[in-house]
Amino acid sequence: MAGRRDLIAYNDLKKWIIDPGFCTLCGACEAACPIHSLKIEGETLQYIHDCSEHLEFCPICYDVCPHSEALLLETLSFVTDAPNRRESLGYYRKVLLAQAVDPELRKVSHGGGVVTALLTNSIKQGFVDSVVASRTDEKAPLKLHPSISLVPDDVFSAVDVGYSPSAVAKAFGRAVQEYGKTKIAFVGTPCQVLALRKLESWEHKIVDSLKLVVGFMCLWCFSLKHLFESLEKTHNIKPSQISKIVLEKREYVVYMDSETVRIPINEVRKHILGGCSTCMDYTAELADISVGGAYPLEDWSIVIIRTEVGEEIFDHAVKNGLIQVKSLENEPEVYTHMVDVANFKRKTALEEIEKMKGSGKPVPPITQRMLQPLPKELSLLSSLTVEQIMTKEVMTISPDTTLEELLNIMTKHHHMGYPILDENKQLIGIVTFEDIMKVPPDQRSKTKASEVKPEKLLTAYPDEPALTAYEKMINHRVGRILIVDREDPKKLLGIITKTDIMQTLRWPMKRR
Amino acid sequence: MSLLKEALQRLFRKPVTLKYPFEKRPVPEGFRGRPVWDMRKCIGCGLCSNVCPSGAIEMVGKGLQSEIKHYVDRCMFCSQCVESCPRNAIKMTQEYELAGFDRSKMLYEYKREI
Repeated sequence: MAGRRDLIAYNDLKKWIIDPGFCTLCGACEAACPIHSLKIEGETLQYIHDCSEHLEFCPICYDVCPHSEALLLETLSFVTDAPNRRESLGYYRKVLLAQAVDPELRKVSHGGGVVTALLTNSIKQGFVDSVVASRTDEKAPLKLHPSISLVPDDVFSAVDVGYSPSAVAKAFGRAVQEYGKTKIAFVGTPCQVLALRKLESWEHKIVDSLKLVVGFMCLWCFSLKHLFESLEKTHNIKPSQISKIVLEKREYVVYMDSETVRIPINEVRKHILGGCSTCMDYTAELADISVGGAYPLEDWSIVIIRTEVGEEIFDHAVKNGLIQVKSLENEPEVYTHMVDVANFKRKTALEEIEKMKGSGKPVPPITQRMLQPLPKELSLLSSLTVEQIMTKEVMTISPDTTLEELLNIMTKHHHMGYPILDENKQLIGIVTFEDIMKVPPDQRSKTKASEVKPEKLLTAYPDEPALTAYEKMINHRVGRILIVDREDPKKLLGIITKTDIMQTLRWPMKRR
Repeated sequence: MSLLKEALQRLFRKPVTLKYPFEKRPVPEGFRGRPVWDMRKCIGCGLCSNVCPSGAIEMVGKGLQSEIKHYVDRCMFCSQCVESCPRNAIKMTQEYELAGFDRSKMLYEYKREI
């Protein structure tokens, strides 16, 4: 992490982000730079002219970079007014399954065509006047280009889920400065959404024109050049044959004109961009609306609505009959798959960070910042007691609950871990999503929760400082800690999750 | 004939002139009056002073310790500084009565609150 910042932010950006190879080419720095010193060309970020000649001091490009540690907590404030927060989903108002009513639309777009329908409606109704998204070329169906759409029909071709970097944030800057648009909808991956939110919390002039942020769920982005080379070598697939690549159950399915090839994730993992390998955000936690594939349902999408703006625009599209929705509660498989991928992303990122730290390589400043709170935050945590920040109403289950039932509960309430209480309200243990995932799907209806609970139970006492509980969580690498009575360690009093800690750091005074 | 008619008509209407400075016409929207700086937003990049075509803006000091001096006697109200500020820290006000006898009084200083 850049402890002491340089007066010219580009020096920091080069040292901490570009040189170690964490840049994901979103173009936020290019959009934000007041003197246009930075430019994305192809797969590199060019420094066109020396900005220190024109500026004495400028923090912008490093501040808005999605891989820098700056403004991280501030960006949270765009979603924290949402009533619910869960570790698996972030802050949200509603989670549901949705699809475009028009079957043609579903055919031309990935998944349920929700984003396309939503944006088409928004432009027609005048909620937004243009859409900044990524689109693919007909010649190269995987290479994404940023695009600015001004008319509803154009959105059709523009919104695309993809796995290659695309300078959408840069295109956003162009939409404001060159097209003079004032109500823009932005569509991007989690890191691009973060970049936009950073611009917004920095109060950059161009985000006055931002109206709606739609985030795609994204596992990783690939460096297409390297991916194609390896596909050609190992599977004899020519880039020109590939029509699309879809993620299904920890496998990438490469669709070609005549056949499909399944490739395990780990085989292509080495071709992902540097910044992606340590990224932990799967569901675009800062977007107004997050949309992702609803495997195994073919033509539905999962939609997470996080903000008021998002809710308003989405509801309008539903009311206008462009999008139909159904509840997620009856589809535990969809929810399980999504959370499983999100957990997988988080886990591999943490492993990667360990590896990087072990070999002495630099870690992206944002990850460093997420894992290691600032001194003032640590002192804040030590000044609060566990009791002050814990959640007191805990959902519990009985030892006889089967894992299948538990997955249904999770799909309904979205908590990731449930303490097990016996009939006398005595604490037995805790079952988390990860424990369930270790059991093969066909065994889940027979296995009981008490059979898969981990041997060791991590607990803290309510009179301890919050910092102690936090340290216990970090040291044992768990996402939640149970709070028990000091006299009676079998009596459950509350729970602290990582999101509780984040909430506390953001708003220490606000009671939940 | 039409002249006489016009004159007669005017007799019964309110005068079009205003008794300035006792009466003032409200300024139109988008009027470019004296620019003001919001120093809580200013990051001290110095762009405004660099782009000012008439050299009316001076930045003293560096970065977050800097202060802005605006020589309104040199300002030509082109609004270029507002355009180039990345953070909307500069606003054009509707203030236009800026004439005076002493040029030294036409300096507006913007300091940071510490």
